[in-house]
Amino acid sequence: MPALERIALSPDLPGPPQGDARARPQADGSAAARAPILVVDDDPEILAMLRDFLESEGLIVRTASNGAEALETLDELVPSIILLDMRMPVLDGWGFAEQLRARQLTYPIVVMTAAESASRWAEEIGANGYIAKPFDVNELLQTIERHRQRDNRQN
Amino acid sequence: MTALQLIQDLTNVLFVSIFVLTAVAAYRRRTRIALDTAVLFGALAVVVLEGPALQLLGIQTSAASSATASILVMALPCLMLSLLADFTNVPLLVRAIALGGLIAAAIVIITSGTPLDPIAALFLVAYFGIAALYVAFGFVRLARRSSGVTKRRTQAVAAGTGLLGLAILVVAASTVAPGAAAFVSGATQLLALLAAVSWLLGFAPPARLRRYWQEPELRAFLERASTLPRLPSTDAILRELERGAGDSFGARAAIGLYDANTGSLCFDNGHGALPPEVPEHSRFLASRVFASQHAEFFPDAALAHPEHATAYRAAQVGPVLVAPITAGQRRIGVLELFAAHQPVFSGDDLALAQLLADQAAVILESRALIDEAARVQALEEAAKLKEDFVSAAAHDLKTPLTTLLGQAQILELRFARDPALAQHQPAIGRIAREARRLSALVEDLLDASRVEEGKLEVRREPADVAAVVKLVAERNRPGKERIVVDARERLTGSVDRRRIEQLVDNLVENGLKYSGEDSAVEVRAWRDDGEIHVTVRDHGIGIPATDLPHVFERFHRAANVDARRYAGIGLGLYICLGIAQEHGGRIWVESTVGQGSTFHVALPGAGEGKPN
Repeated sequence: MPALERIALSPDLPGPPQGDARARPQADGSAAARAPILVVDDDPEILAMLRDFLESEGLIVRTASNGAEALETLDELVPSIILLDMRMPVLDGWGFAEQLRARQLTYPIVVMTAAESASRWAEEIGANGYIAKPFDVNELLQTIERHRQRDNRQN
Repeated sequence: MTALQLIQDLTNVLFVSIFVLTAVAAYRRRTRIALDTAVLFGALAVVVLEGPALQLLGIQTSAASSATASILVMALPCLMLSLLADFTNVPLLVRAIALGGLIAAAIVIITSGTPLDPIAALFLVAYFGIAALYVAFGFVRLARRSSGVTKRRTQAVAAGTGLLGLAILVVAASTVAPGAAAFVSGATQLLALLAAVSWLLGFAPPARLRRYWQEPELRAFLERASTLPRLPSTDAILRELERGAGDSFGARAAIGLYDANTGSLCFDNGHGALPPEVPEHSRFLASRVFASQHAEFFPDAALAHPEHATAYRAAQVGPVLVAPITAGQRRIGVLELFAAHQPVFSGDDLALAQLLADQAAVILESRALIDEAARVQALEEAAKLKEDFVSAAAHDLKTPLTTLLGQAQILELRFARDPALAQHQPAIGRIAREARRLSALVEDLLDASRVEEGKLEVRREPADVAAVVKLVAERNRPGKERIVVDARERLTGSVDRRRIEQLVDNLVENGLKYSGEDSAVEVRAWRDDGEIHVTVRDHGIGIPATDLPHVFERFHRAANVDARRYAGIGLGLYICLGIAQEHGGRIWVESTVGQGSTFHVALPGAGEGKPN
């Protein structure tokens, strides 16, 4: 597991997009690009928005509304990265991470939470990074790319 | 010496001893009761000593001396009756009859020769016996009404009086059956001895016996005491304490608690004898004892405190006992006991009253501690509740903001890519900008609440403060071109990069906000004396001197800030102060109205030992 990389994100960080300098994932023809992103969050609006946005960026997205649903999803797919909310009903982020460890699954995880303790929680569950809600979508995209690409290199 | 002689001598010694004891007591405390008691036993001592004294002096028993002794014996019922009258009501008629009987008896004794004519003797015996039994019943009734040690001592006095009456009746029986002279003499002596013992126990019991008699009431009181602090309220405890103390004495009890705010002793239940608030420095008996901190016995409240006599009489208050309730150095209040008639034995009662007052102090102090513990717990729970609320509110506010801000940005991206939608770009830009502002505002509120709780999370690690300052200066914002940065060297400190960024950004925003559109905002960062310094200087409206001490307070906005022109809720500088302090640093401001302000931050530099 790569060391935790701290990503400082605050709502007033660089806002509007800086043209098309971003990496366009669809240009990448690797397996990771086709591997879906698993988004786990109990808020349906956030799930819908992220699905809409990430799909429009050419990514494949699967969603789950809690840890237990996410585990079921993982029975049939291998995600390139998991965006994980922490406070959720049924099975929360901590429980989900524990189950992953028990199954010896080491997918990259980015913690996505509204709590101030985002970085501490990310450390607690051994996540690769964190992103504080509310987030800047460009930062989110960059974070996803960073951890996905790193995972590619490792493979 | 025969057994009869021994009994007689013992009886004599006992009666004389009781007289000495009561005489000393009367000398020490000159109350009517003490005097009446001493006179009664003085008379008895003279009667019993008269025969032996004359014998010792070798004087033949004369008719005159014998008559004097007889008259003194006949005076005993009257003396006992006046003693009884000190404790309880004795009808005037009864006292008049007794006095008449005494006069009649004296006449009979003087006029008739020796031996007495049997009818005269029968009259004397009947008079004495009936009077003694009346007094004995009087004490029995008194004993039934009182409680504790007083009850037992009254019972002993009643028994002594009854026994003396019986002795006289036995003497009377001897006049009817002269044959049993030896038996009568022995029985009389025995009864007199028992009467003496009873009186001794009643009027001057040994300390050990007194303690033994006090024990049951004390035990009952103490057993109840252990559960008292758990009663629902202090008032309930006070009522229970008053009831317990009153029961122990067969009297009424009132507890006054000291209130430092009003400087008075507060009585919830003064039994009509005391006002609800007794001033600390006043002639009231409670105030006097509270000031002296020594328990005191007042035989007559109306005499001791004449200004309040009417109220005492109306409330049927005679003697009063007051004991201070004090725990260590803390003066809690006083315990005041009222009786309609004087309790028989005031000396012991004083000690007992103090004991009960001390116990009350322990109970009230325990209660105060329990209340204090509950108060602290409630405060902690309230703080926890607030923290939970802030934490929940943070989550619940940020979740919809995430969608709002994210969706606005996504639309912004799409509109930027599609020329057909370009005309809508300013509109969606406004939504995104306002969503960001709302988000920043929520963050500020949460941060301010964390600063207040001392729970601002700061994760310190080595970071270059100069780089942070430059990053803030380069941030895209209106007025960005006015920012002048002077940060040449690397300034590595142990800081939370995000928090320092927030701090500097706040100061820069303020500088831009409160200064003219063409004036510069200068940001400097340097190392000095091991500390990292950052200053943000503007040439704007400045801060009035009266506001300077308050600018870092929550929700404070300077007098010269027009709230309609300058948006803000006055949290920024409060959060800056919290961040600086959480880093072990300082923040201060120098300002002149009309010329501008300089905000100065000093942070401890972690890297001074190993310059980069």
